[in-house]
Amino acid sequence: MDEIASRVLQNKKVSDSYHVLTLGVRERLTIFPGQFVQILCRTPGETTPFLRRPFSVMDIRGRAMDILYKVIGPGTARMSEWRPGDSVSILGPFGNAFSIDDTAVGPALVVAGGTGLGGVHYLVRALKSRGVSVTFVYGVRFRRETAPAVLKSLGVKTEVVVEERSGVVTNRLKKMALERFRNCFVCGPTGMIRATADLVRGRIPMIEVSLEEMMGCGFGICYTCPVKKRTGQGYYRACDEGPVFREEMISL
Amino acid sequence: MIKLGGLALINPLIVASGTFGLGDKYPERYRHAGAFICKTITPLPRAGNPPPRIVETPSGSVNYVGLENPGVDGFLNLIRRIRIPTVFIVSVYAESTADLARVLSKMETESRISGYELNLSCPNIRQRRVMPSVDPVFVRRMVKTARGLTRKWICAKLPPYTCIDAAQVCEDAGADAVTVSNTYPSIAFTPKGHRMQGGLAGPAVKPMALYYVYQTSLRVRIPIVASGGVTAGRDVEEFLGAGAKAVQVGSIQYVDPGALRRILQEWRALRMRRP
Repeated sequence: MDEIASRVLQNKKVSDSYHVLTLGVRERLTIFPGQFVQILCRTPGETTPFLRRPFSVMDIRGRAMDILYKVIGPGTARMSEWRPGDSVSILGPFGNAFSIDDTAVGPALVVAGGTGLGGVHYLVRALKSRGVSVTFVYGVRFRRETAPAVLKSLGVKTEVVVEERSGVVTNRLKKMALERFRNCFVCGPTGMIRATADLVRGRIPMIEVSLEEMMGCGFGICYTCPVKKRTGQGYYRACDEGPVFREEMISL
Repeated sequence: MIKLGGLALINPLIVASGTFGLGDKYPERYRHAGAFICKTITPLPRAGNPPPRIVETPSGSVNYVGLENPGVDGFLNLIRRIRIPTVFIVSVYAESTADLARVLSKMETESRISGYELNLSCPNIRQRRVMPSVDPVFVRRMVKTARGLTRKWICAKLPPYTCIDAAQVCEDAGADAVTVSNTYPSIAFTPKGHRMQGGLAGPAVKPMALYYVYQTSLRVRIPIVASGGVTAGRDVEEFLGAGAKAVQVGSIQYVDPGALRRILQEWRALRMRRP
């Protein structure tokens, strides 16, 4: 849980709204698909924006780490100003990972929405390297938001669903023969996750979702990222017991 | 070494309740603290409030956790398994003296607990006798009940604004110390526009916390434990200068899990430079 000093290697705009930040770290990190890091979007002496921001690790190559982000608030606005050579404080990796080392992982349907692309990119690559056939369905609100270079780098069969043209992702999923998949992995806004889970439940045996939650700390001490349990009382902590959950465990 | 009444600490920095979990996670992280105060424990388990529970605000954050905790029995089971690296204080919340007695009598079976911080100021549950204004009769009864049940150290964690009067009541009722103060009742809106009422913490509250520590110190002789927006060694010096005997480190740990050790080093370096 120690702070990792990193430097910006590249900070590139990949579509009208999305950026990819590439950070270089001193030591090789062991990070599993689904895990996230907490980025400090200010210098340590400042007090605002006060909290770190959680980001999925989009990819890791040796000592370089990619993060996909969209400028939506004061933290990400700061991030978009970072230039190569700037130092960045990160904590992590935190959270659990997608279950992909199970021998039963079969043909996989990966569904992402918006910046959820950052949450599944590394997963898709890992599935591919394990020889799992992957179908990727990606939803964005506007055509200008799609990041073609990022999608192409995945190297799998990808369907892009642009909401302003053809409606939400689940419209496309409804037309697919879902029964041929063994695993379904979902990452994106809560509404999209809920709609996807409702649609594929009972048709794909194993569904895992990765949640994007507000978090205070990211490592289980502040109790501010509750995720409602499906059965029984109480909450999981998204940062600690998640951010990846078996769909049947939680109530969205 | 500092003394807070009968409690001796190796240094004046204390991990604030609710800002570093129950103590079962990362105990090596708080071994540098003079004392560790765990998240508040209640007689029965509490699920806590539904999301959202946190909103970032300028130089701080508003939280609405609502005392999520496993209850006294669950908590005692949990800490039985850990090695406690420093003075361990349990934060306790109860709605009546009978409930408080139930919690404390169970806690008394764990000899590694050095004392209690009575949470008389949580802004996120309906403890109406404390928020928004304090009921001195309730405060007196709670402290007296605790005093009658334990010989261990008792500190009352007070709300802002009313802490000055409440501290005197606590002193008269036999408290060993008071914590000034809990978070500041606040309203914040999430980025999606959801209205959330909770407690404000972080550097934003420090000037107000300094004011209440100073004003309270003029009224009571028992030690004051300061809490509010500490992020650096200089803040510790300021609170000690305002009349506190010990200083809590809180939400900065969300951002910097090694904050306590860093702040301690900064404060020691400051002291070295001064005659």
